Amino acid sequence: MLKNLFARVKKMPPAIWMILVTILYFGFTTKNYYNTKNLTNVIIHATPLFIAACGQTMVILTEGTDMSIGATMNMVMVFWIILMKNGVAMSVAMVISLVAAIFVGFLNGIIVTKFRLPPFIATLGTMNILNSIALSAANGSTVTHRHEIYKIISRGVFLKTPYILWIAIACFLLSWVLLNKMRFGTRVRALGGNREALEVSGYSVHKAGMQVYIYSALMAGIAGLVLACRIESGHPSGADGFEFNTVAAVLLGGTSMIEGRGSIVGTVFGVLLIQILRYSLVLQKISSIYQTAIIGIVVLIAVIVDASTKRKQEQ
Amino acid sequence: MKSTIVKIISQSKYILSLFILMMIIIFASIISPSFLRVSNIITIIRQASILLILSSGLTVVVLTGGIDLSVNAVAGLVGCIAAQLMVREASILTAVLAGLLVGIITGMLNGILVSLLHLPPFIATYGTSMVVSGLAVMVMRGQVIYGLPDRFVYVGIGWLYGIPVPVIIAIVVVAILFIVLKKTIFGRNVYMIGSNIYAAKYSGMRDVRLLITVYVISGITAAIGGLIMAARLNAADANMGNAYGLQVVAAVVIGGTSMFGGEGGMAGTVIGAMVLTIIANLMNLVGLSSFLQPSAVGAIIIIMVSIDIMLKSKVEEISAASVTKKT
Amino acid sequence: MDRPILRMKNICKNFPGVNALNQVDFDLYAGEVHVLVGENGAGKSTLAKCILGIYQLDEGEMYLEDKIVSFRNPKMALDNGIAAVYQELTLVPHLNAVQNIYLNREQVIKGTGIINKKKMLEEAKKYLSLLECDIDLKTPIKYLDVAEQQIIEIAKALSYNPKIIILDEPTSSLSEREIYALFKQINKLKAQGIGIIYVSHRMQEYTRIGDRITVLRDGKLIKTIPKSEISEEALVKLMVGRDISQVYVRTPNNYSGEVLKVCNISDKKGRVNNCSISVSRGEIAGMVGLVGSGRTELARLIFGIDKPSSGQVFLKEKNITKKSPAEIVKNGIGLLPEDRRRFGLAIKAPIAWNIVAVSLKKIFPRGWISEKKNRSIALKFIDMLKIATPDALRPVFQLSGGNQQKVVISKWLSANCDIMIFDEPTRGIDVGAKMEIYNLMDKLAAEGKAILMISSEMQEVIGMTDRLYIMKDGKIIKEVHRSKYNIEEIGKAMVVGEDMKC
Repeated sequence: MLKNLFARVKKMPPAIWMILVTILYFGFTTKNYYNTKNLTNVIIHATPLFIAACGQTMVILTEGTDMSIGATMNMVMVFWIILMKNGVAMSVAMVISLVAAIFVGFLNGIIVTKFRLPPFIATLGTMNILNSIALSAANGSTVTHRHEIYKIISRGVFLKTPYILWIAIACFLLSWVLLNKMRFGTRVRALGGNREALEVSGYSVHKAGMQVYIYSALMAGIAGLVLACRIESGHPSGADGFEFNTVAAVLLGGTSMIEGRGSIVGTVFGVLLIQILRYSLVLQKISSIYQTAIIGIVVLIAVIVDASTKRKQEQ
Repeated sequence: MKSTIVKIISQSKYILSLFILMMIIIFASIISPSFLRVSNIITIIRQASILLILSSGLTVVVLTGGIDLSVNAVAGLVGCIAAQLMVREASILTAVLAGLLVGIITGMLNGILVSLLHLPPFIATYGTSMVVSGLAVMVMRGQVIYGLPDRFVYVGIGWLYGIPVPVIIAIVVVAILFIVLKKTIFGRNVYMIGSNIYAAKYSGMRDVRLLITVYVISGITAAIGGLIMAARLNAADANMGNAYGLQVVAAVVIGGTSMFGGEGGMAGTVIGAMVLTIIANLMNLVGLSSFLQPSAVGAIIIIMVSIDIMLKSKVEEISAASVTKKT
Repeated sequence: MDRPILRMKNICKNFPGVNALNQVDFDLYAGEVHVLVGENGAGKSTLAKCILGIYQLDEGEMYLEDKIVSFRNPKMALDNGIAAVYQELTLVPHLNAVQNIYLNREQVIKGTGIINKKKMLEEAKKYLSLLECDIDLKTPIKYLDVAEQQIIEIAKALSYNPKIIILDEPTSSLSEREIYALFKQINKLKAQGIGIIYVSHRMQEYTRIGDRITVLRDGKLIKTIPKSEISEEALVKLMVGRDISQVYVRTPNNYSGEVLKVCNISDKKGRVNNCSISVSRGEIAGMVGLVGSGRTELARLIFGIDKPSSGQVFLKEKNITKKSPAEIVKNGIGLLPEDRRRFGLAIKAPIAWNIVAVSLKKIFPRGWISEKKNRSIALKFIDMLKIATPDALRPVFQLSGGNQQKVVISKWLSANCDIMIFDEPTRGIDVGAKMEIYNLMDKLAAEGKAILMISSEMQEVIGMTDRLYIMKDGKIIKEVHRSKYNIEEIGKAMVVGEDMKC
């Protein structure tokens, strides 16, 4: 009976039991850990990471990695604010920035499918280029511009739920439907699980690959806008590290790089885990100096454990 | 005609990189008159030497088909730890040994993650780089340290027989690794594992041992690089490792070493480091924002790896065609 | 039924280094099973791929129902009614049977693009029941065994309602019962007027199901003939190209003495179960069995790549169980793997480097490599084994399959091993080179080496080995001596199994 339970737990995304462990541990050691204010904070802080991770989930399903997510977010943040600063209407500036993000996705897609570069090298290259562009456009410092939209999105509420959460839910639904209910999803899984199967079925592997990178960049763009609303400015390196965190969230959420196995729901748990961990450390008043290191270690351990259990399963 | 060119290019591993180097030098001297000034050339060589040291160990890792993204972070951490030790009256020797030890330990960690736990190298080393960066921040507690011992600083800014000390160290390191790669069984095994790790296992190679050693080498060169950086700056701060960013990887790639392993070598990395440093130098001379440098690096990496991939498929076609002619 | 539904004329197809098809003619009538046979590398798969649009013809024409056609990709072939069941399964592991069958042509609710799972499930059930198969359609196919996966592939082909179905080595992992069901299906398809091209190199089955047989050898059409008009021996002779007695030559030798002894070995995943074999000096011991019977896994256990859960391996009385490949190699065992490109050679590296890859420490005891010495050793082997290459420094990928195998053999020869395990030694090698490999193996045995030969090609096993082991489902079920070799019985034992205590 216990063995059965164990087997079922193993099949679930590791993030689930890790969340339980974390909550239990910190629940014991921190005062006032279990309250709604903390929960709401965690969820709200998690939204940019989650939106970006939706895109990364698709990319990882195709056996790739998008290392340019953080840089795309930086670029979009900076562009949006700078455009508004120069008199462009807010929504127009938004659209332009998102178009720029889509262009990035297009670029990534071409480099990976046509030039056949390994995805992480290709996106590592674009990451540098984009960070450069963001930094030089912002001249090395944070750009600011006053606008009501920030407060509306980050604090405004509709039906008792913050707008920001609605955006996250919308991205979740979009990604979930695409992945599980539309041909796009089976194609993505085929790309990762058995490329030849897709080729033989007649759909261009190139086209499918491009779609994935464009989607990831689009998600990154949306995440960047949300982040900009939260910090109410455009920080050219504000999203640094998002690429690692999204990869970690996706892998911890049970998505595999080799089989075509994975889900958006799993990614939700992965993102929650990272945010809960970070937030718990803050509550314990562990200085932010230590946070990166600790989170890095925990995530690394989780990825290792996950990779080795997967290997054993596959063999 | 096209096939002869491709044949020549593929036969000499480094001809493409040398060509790029030549072009860059010519281009730079045309664009900026101060490029060829002696003082500028010395700056270039000094800068390039540190980059070269950092990239040299990485070259060995890339030859096995892996990658080490933690080089920068390790260099930073080592510089910080050494600086903290020296400022607290520790001897220079202790600080240097401690730094090397840090490099060895991170190298072993990376090696174990990749070879025993089968993590993809870029995830493993990216992860360790995050942890190591965090450690650097912890070690420094937000401060910057100035005022390192004179004898130590001499390593960064001094001269020996008319040559800057960092350059001598770089030459020694590169020479050692060059000989190891070309002339030792270990070096040969590095190429074989990079070419096909499964065949290496089936040939009885002790792959785990070799992979761990390779990452340790990268850790050691990162440590050496970090020490020299601290010496040169006569200071240390948590961020110092990021000075070269992706240039470390770019130097290896420009030099013709393939990211898929099994091809390339130290000589290429030397050329690659020169090319990158010249580009950075040129951008400074011309007044381009330093923010744009990483984009040049990123673009170069993409272009060089694309060329590598394209050439490879062309070479396979052409040489296989010549086999057909015989049948 | 009078004119063929498919006609291929003067087909030529070339690849770098190889004339895969040379002036081949082929046709197919509705409702017939036309078997395409030949040894590995004869060109059967290539011809099939040309029909399917995977390869483009260099020369020649293809007529579908008397209309000239040219398929630029498999989808065009599919749209025109030609479906295939490939040897390498084109299934996505994590998707279930329904998703795999309808990959990229899922039925969507009009206008929304949303997949209609229920409808697809019903239709998929229809096709699978036609094949008398009873699989849970909702589990990801990676949890099914190879036979079930193959049936899903067949269902997938059926779902296109094709006029022609090409089966490429379809029975390689099927049990007798499943083969029977498959043949029943094939007969049903025949009755519906579907033309079937059955590509195989295994005589045990196609003589049962084929109406006509086309023999290819080295890319050329040898003969097309109704099954009833040719005997099995004549067929083999056509496939091999010469008298069998000339191909498989064994010189007697006086070596004896057991060198390798494997006792009751089992692996951790249940693919090898309590197996015991032994190999002596001067002999070639064979191992046969279906795909999945555990032969390669047994070899990996002996070689140390996998660790056994129980049992021992002895090398001349020395216990070498659980040792790493590095130590096994030091003790003188060599393994020439089935997939030589993936496991046997560093394909980008020079020939010379591959040849010394195992024996580096022996050749350069001080750890210092001399390229000159490396090259001269390589040249010695190139000469000895007649490897066709202008110099020793060419990368291995430029050699043909047969020469690549010779490089692998040289590698182990330079390591001076006493025991060599050959796993599918002549796969992907043309007939001429095969003979050279057989001669080499014979010579090695004559020099006192012990050889274990794992193979799926019955002809070569029967021709070259002194004894053979039959494996099924991870167990050694029978050991047969050369004097008692009977191809039918061996084939039957492989498939049916027999209760035999070792």
